[in-house]
Amino acid sequence: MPPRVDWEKCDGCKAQDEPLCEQVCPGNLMTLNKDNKAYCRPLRHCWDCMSCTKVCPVGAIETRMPFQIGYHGAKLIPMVGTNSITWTCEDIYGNVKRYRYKNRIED
Amino acid sequence: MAKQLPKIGIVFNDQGERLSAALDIEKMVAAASKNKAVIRTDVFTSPLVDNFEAWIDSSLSEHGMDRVLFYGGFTEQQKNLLSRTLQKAGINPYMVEWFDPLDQGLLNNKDDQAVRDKKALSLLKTVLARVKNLEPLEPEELPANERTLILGGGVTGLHTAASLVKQGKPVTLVEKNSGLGGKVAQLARFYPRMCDPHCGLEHVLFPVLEQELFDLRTLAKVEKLDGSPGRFEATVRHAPRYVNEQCDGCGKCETVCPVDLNDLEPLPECRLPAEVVEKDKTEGAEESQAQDEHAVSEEADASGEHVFSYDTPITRREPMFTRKAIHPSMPMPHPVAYVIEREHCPPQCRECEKVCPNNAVELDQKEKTETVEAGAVLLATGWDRYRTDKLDGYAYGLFPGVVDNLDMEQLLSPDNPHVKRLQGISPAELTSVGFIQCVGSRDECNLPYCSSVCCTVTMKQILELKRINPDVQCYVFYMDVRTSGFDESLYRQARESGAVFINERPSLVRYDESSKKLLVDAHDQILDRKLRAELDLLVLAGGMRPSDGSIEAGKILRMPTDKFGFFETHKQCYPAESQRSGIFVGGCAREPMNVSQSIESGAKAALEAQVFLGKSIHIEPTYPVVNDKKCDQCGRCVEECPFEVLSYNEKEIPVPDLAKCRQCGNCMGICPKVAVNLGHSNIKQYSSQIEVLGENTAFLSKKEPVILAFLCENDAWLAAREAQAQGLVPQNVVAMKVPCAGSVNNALIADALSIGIDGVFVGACPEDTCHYVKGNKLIQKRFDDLAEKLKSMSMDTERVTIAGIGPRDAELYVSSISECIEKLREKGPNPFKM
Amino acid sequence: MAQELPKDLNQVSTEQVDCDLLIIGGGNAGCFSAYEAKQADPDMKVVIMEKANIKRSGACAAGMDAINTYIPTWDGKTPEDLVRWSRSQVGGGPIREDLALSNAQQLNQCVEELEEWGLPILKDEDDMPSYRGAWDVSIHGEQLKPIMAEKAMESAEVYNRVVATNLIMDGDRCAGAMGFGVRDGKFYVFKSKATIVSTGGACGLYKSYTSDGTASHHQTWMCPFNVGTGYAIGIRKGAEFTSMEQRWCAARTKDYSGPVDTVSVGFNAKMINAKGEYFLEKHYSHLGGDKAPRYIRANAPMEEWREGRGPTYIDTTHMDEETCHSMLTDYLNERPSFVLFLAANGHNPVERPVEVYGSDPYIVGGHTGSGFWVEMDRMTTVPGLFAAGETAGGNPNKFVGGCAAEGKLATRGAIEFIKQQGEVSVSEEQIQAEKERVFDPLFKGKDFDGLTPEEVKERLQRLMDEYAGGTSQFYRVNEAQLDYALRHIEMLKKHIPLLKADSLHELMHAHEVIDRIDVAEIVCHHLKGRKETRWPGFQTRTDYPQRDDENFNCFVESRRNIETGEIEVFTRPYERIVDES
Repeated sequence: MPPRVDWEKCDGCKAQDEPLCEQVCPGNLMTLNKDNKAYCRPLRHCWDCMSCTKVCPVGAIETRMPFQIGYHGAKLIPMVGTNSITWTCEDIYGNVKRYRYKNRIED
Repeated sequence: MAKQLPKIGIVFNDQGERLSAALDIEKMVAAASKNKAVIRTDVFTSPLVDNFEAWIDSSLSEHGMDRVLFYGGFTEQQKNLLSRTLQKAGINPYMVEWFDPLDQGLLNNKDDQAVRDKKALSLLKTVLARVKNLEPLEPEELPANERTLILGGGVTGLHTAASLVKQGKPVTLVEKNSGLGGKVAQLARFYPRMCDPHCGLEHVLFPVLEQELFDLRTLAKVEKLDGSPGRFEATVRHAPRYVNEQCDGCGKCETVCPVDLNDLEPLPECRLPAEVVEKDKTEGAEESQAQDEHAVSEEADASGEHVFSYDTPITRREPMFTRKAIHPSMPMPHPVAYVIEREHCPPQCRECEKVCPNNAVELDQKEKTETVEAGAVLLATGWDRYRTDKLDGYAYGLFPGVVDNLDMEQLLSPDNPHVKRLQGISPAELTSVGFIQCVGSRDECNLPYCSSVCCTVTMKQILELKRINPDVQCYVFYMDVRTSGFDESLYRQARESGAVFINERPSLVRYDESSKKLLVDAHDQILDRKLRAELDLLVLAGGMRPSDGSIEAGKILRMPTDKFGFFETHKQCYPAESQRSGIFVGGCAREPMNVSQSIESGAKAALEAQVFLGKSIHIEPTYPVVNDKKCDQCGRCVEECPFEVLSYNEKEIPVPDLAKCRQCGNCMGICPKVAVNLGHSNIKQYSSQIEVLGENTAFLSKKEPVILAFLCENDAWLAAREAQAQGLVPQNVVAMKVPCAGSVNNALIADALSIGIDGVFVGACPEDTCHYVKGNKLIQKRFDDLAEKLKSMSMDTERVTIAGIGPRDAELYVSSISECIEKLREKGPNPFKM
Repeated sequence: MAQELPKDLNQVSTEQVDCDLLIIGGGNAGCFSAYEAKQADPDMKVVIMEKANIKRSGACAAGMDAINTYIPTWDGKTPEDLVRWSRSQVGGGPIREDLALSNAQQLNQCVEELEEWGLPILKDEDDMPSYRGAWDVSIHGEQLKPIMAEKAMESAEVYNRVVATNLIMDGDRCAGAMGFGVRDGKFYVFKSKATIVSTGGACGLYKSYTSDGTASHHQTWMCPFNVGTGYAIGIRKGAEFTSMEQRWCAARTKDYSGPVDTVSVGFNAKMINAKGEYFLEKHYSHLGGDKAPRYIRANAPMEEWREGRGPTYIDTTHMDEETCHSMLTDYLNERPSFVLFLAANGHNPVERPVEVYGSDPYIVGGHTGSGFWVEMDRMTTVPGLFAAGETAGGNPNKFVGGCAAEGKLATRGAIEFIKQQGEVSVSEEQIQAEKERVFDPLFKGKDFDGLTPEEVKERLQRLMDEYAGGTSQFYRVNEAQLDYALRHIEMLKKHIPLLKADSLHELMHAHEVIDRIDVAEIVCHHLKGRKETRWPGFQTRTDYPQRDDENFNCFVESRRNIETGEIEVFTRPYERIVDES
């Protein structure tokens, strides 16, 4: 299923007005529960744009494929740099592939 | 829009052939000259200073040079001179870069020259990337205010005020009591000269009391502090005195006042409304009231640290003195005007008003507030006694004749017409007096520290007793006698006067009803004998803890304190500076100390405060700037800034208070959107270097890992430099200096790893020695998050390491980083090396 | 964060903002509209009304891997060439060639500005933009939206998390828009002298074939948060719409419903069926084979399935690992979770071809020509209301570059309009009436026996899928089905007063479904109106299976009659401006 939040790591963005994931979601889906932990409401409305996953400062969010269309155990982990981003992909058989590209040109 | 290419002039300093002996300079010059942004490259073999101006002139006029890279070793003096010379010629000092190849191991002749030459070329490209991104920065001048606001009119506050006023600086002194003098004014004598403390205090006070520059506010407290260094705005609350300045201290009112108050009633002071003080973010603050009376209460504050609380109900001992409800200012009668403890007045009683010849009594006076503007603030709020009644065994308040060392001062003080003795304890009549040292001090269950003065105080009290009655027998029960320095002579005099010293701290006191004596049993450790003392008076030498005034001021000003409530300073290097710029600390508000130390610490504070008391405050332009388009107001920078410097502006974007900001860069490090940039150490200046380095790591063989080390400039960088000077650091390391380990943003580490640099090492200040309080802890947390992410990415977490390296821990640096290199050799090259 | 919900209308505060130019929708077109306004007149007060947060809102949320319209003028290509190509993509027309040409002339500057602002455009060995198709340049666009958003934030005042619900009118003239804050629960009135509507297209009119899954309801190619609000608010004020029957049905990766052009265009992967036949080559070589117009490429796999020759794929097995890595890097820039999808199926495209199928139909005026009918200044038939991007019709194949260009053109049109028409005023009654309508679902009370927006949306989606040519019907419709659909849409409209919402978020869903119903209605009318099959797939009439150039070489138009509520359908002639080269 789409964003999966690790509640051990999630600190509710220190419970400020809006945690970063809530701010960024194009569908208004991420929000905090009464324990100040982030969750997606509902999961089935997620479009997997992965904006929340990229923005979480503590790396508490992981995007997963809904089981309806993809099997369990695959991972796609973004690591955001200052003007580039890397993606590490692990498939269900444990094969790891890595990608990196620049996403901003600064003069 | 077309951007102008930078025009870099490079100067290689080959003085003493230091460079050419180690590296192929010609190759470097050739490589540099190929770079489009470099307009000239010169190697100097003679001291630069001699022909440098000519070089600058021609670089500017012929080539339009706009920035300079100095390559080589320079002393600080040389750097200053060169930089000033450039500045005179019009090159902004922030457009000058210094690269010392020593820091990167390039001069280490015992390592392979071919490797070092290749590395030198790589690093030249890297540093040029930074130089291309330099920006001319101009300092800011912020308004300052010459006035100092001093909280606390005791010995520290008075001496500091006097020093400042003598230098022509205005002072506002705010004292919560009706009169000045604090604790020292309540002493009988003070050592080592055994003078009358009122004399000492008045000596310093009188010259300044009537000066225009000296504003005295008694029965007053600061209830709010806004603004920032150079432009503080304090709200001062004045409690009503009920007597005005017409009072000349004649005392007629005292003769008709029907109310007697005893010394268990605290002296009148200004009280702040509860809501002003209670906006304390410590949780469980209310619970402390219900704590067991006999225990020191400790709660965890929001950070989980235990915080001492001293709020416990007062045990009632027998009162010793009495005073009227109307009386002179206390503890010293300065200002001259009397004060009325109005809450004790009988309804409708106006006797004093009727009888006052000067119409000075104003029974309907009200509270008021006033705004005071100041450039700096001094906290000189002193200490209060640690309550010895908390320790049951000593029976304070239970048996007659048990007092503490502050009570003893009052007993030994000369008679005072305004404060009459009640009990029959006259010092001249005492035959045997016992002193138990370290009551409630050096004690895990009470105060774990030593209050440093109590032993000398006891010696002083013994000598005073002996002066009054040479036949009095004194007994001192001690664990250690800590009369340090020249106070040792007081100890010797006490012994020579016949006082008996018993080496044990007894825990129990008993009272014999028939003999009316206090009984103290002890087992002397040295004689290995049991002893019993029968005493008329027992003095419990208790310790000092931060005053209630300090604790309250700390809450109002949001001051970081240690767990006892003393204001945190960097004791060995910056003992007068608190962790809030512009707010200084002196005297026992910082830690227990004696009078001369208090006076000195106040003077140090006054000196340091001068920075904010001049015409303006100079701010170097290396402060953080927040990009309002990238900022998402997550608030992490505001919360985590070690100095609480950031606040939201009207657009809800965090902005630093430039006068408070210590320019550590922790905000830059913590921002998840990489929206904060420190002047002259901005993100682009780092990321551009990382990118170039990442593309140029082939100076070692493919099997050899390359490590990028971010080293905190305060500690780890110095250790690394020393290690490099000794030739101990492997060539695998490329070092980058950072203002604080906490300023390293995870995105930069991500950049390094993603471009194929094999490992990242962060050298921070060790444990609790971070120069910016907690930068090392902040990055540790981010590091842990990053390591977990690396794990989920099937990357070895060994690729990132953080270590605490002190400035002289060269060996530790070498061993830590060598360990990393070894681990990375095992793990193989970075999988992102694509 | 969550505040107390208002309990009645009196607790809802109204915030009115007056401005010169209102932009509804801070997406690709909207950001460029704002930027253009600031360049043209820095003193103009420009406001953007954005439903989400402009930094990642809309279809560009995850990024983009290519700009599909950038004219390689250095190779001698001209804007006219682009128009010709665009025309061929819709089987030779009809397209609004006037709009297409003016848009093509503005394109390149937008792309160059994006590069200046920091967007990496991939270059070849000669340092020229790297083309993967005739007009498609590859980019690393993961930051495309933040880059545009930063420019928009510099240029205008952005109101994030404000949902537009209706236009506000000064007589016949559009005087701005109204809406509500999905975070602060306020009612917003934006009064403006001119308005640009750029809310993207309409997704979720039709049921996607994975939408019943527990966590895969929004597994669509198009952004499911773009629901056609821009169209709906225009429909409700009687604006004219064009070509709404030209639905965007595209060949997409099966199940995930992700982009396929990335692969097939960029990496020469041909479509193949289960029998190993390259069926596009086999059946459509006269139309270009694998380079055939997109409606052919969408319909063909569906036909293969229908005929029992599925599943269908694009054959990626000719790629080597390095090329595949490049392809997946492209995907990571546009729809990164597609890489996760492949990984979650243990699928290496070099070993097995990538399965394709048709997507559910969308209405997107940046891909096909469906949307507002606009004049050259991009003004709709409602004075003062301009449209740009996917919301504006008549000009298919705009994509990123063209939507940006249209944003600028709309701003220029709006500025002219403001100069000539000046101030507006709005009535309290309109504001009050809309405020009531907007918040009505929120105040129904705990015991109200009503409908959730989700169930109404699902009803609409199945209706459209089965009766208006969705994937379950292989895009086919006939008159009887369309009438059935319209009859039930009428029923749905009557049920709107039964909508209830328990939160502001759900209130947004309520209005989304109301807007979708209005858009679906005119889509059905347009499908009915074009009694031919011109673009099989986009619109396949089983009762009129042939193309009828005699009667339908024209635009099918619609307009709601505001008095009666009836949808009037008519035609407009097709004007050829650019000749065949």
